[in-house]
Amino acid sequence: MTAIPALELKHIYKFYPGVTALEQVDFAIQPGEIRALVGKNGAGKSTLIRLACGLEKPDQGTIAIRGKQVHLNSPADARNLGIEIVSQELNLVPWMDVAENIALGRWIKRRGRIDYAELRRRAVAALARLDVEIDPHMPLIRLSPAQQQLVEIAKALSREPSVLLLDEPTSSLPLTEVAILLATIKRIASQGVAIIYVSHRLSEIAEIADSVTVLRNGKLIGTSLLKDVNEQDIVAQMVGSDVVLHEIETQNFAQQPVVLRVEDLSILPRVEHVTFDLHQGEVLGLAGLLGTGRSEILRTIAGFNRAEQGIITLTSGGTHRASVPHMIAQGVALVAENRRDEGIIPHLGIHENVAMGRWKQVTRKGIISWQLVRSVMADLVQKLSIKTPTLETPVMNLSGGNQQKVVIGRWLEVADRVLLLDEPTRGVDVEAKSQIYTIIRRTAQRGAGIVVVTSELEELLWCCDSIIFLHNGKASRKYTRSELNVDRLNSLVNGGKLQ
Amino acid sequence: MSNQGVTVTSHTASNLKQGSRLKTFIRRNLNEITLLIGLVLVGAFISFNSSAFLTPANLINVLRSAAFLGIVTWGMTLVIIAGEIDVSVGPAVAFSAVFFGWLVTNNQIPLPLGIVLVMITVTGVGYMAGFIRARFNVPSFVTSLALWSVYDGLKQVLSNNIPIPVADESFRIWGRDDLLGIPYPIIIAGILFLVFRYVSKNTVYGRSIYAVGGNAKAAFASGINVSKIRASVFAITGALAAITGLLQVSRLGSATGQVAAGLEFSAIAAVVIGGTSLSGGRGTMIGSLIGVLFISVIGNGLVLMGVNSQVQNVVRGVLILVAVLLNVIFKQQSKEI
Repeated sequence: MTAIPALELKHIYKFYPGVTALEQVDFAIQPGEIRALVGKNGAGKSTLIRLACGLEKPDQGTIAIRGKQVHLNSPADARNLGIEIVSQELNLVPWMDVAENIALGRWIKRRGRIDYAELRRRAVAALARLDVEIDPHMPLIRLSPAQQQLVEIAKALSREPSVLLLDEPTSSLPLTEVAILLATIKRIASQGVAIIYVSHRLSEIAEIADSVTVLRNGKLIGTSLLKDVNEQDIVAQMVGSDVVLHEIETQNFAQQPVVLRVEDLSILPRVEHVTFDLHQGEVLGLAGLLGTGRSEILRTIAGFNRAEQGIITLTSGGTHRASVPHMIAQGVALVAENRRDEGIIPHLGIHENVAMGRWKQVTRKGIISWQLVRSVMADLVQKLSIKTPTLETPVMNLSGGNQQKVVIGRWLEVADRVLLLDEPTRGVDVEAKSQIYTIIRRTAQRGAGIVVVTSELEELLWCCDSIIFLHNGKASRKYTRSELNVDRLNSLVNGGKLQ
Repeated sequence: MSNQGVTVTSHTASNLKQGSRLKTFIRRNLNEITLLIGLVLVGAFISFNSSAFLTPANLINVLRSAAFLGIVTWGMTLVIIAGEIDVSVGPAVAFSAVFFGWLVTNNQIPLPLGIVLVMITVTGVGYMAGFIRARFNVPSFVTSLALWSVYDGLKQVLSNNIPIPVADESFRIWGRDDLLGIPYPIIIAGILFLVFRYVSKNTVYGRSIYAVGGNAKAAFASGINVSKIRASVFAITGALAAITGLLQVSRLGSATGQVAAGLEFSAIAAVVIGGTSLSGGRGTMIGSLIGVLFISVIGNGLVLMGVNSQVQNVVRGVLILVAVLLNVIFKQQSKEI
């Protein structure tokens, strides 16, 4: 090391009751460097970040900023020493305008009054540094998610940090906006800011990071320059064994009975005249950029919305209606896109979160048999490989991956005809991802038809038998897995055609 | 054991298991246990200052007032767990009482029919308020505040602020007399408590209330009829307000609009003291029971210790705030352990 590191953590230990969250971890980052920090959920990434930004103190070890040892007792300490964090959840006020959000908590006053003109000037300067055009007068709520994320970064940068921590900044962004964000991050780094970038998306890391630090079970596995390693190496370091993701064998489903027929479906303004069949045992991927109506199609099938036009038929009997309880009774259920919003009930236990989908199975005349609940759930928890101390553990205490498995588990064996999965692996670590793919494949083998919507294109190759692409409201023909590879996916999802 | 493979952590020595069982029991019920300790301390303080407190007659008195507060509080607990609030229960009780007197005394309607009419009306109005909240997404604070005003006005219209006598002896049994030394209101509140506790813990309806309060969107996506749950909890507080109003008439022998003034705030306070989260999704009936006892004991103690009646409200307010604060602090502490 020639230069003095912008931030250095030395021999860090951090213990929580019953867990060693970090064990002798060393971490150093130079000014201007983009460092990816990766690891499965529970590997210690969040703990390391919490230490670096003063939310917690290490039990052993030291933290140094530009070579000087410091004690970070609070986030304010870290901030004063030039460390800023942009976390997954935005800390912005939706109804305030962009300029005021950037100045949040540090309103500039003149003669006892807030100097709005100065606020605006500073906001413009901060946004210019990112090279983005956002109207500082616009209320935040009117911006796209990526623009909001950029405002959050502008806010962090307006305090002139020397180290910027980015905790999964792209997890809720569409592909097009991810590109903007990544370009911005590169630019900030080139201005000498050290950037620590936490993400589950390896493709992004490959694109922007200079180096990557891998943590596993609280231990430092290693730090390597990105030019020396490929994605497979990183995944292997994270998981601790060979890569668990493997592409699937598919069969031809044309001969299988159809479980769901969608004809001439229009959901204005996004979806026009979409027609497709879903066969028994088939896993069908719906691909398309954000805003192409993927989620709307799933929600309409699941009875959340009414369609303007079109016929949805359950071909093995039963009727389709725009009513969620009705569709669940028909064996059709949706795992919605945002598990915090529409998936989990945070304070209720795992057992109840799962049982909600199948009260009939575990009740007599509306009265719950807790014995039945426990026996059914214990079986499911095992099938889903959910890691938890007890069945009653509130779902909010689980990791993202385990929460997602709970939400999917709610519909296992309940949605025995059609299971609809909207972004089933968002914000989930590699191991949980592979487990979720296994769950999807097994559920299909038991005879359900499955529709998967995802923004991660590679995922389609890992779990789908066939794929339909949505572009400008129209649906492509159904492609089989064997016709496709990553390059073709990329071209098709942008509206291209094969050959 | 095979079914519970996921649940067990350590169980080598049996005494260790015993110890950890007690520990888990305490941890799970920390909220209720700390409240009980607080209740006992307050009780000890009062009995230290007034020998009249720990007498059977006085304790029955405390329980009787607890019963009149408790009945609506059981319903309020469900409302708050569902993530809602109902500030109309006080005037709803008063209206029920006056409406009943107006029906049976001023209009000579047979008593049983009067009871049925009061029950149906106030339950129905509660359902309507809940329906408006659910259907049009109006915050329940606003709908129930409007209802508060409507009830408060109606009771004055019907009674001209003059008590209406209702002297039927067979009717007065329920509010005035007792069974084996226990006043009927206490028995009624006790039975209702057991029913509510069972429903909230062991029925799909009860758990759906927790689900709606915890995350309404997720509850909807799981096929729960969110609107129906929301409307129903207001119907329940309506029904309980009607019962309380009828019992008050029975106890006093006359229907007066003065009863239950401020009851809505005592009920909400009892629920919150009991550890139920005002943001919904969390809470227990047992907590509310202790909250009700807490408020009743304080009220009784202030009278026994001869505290000036104007000062009483101030002291009560401060004690409620302290109880809630302690509860919150204990909860944070227990998380860190």
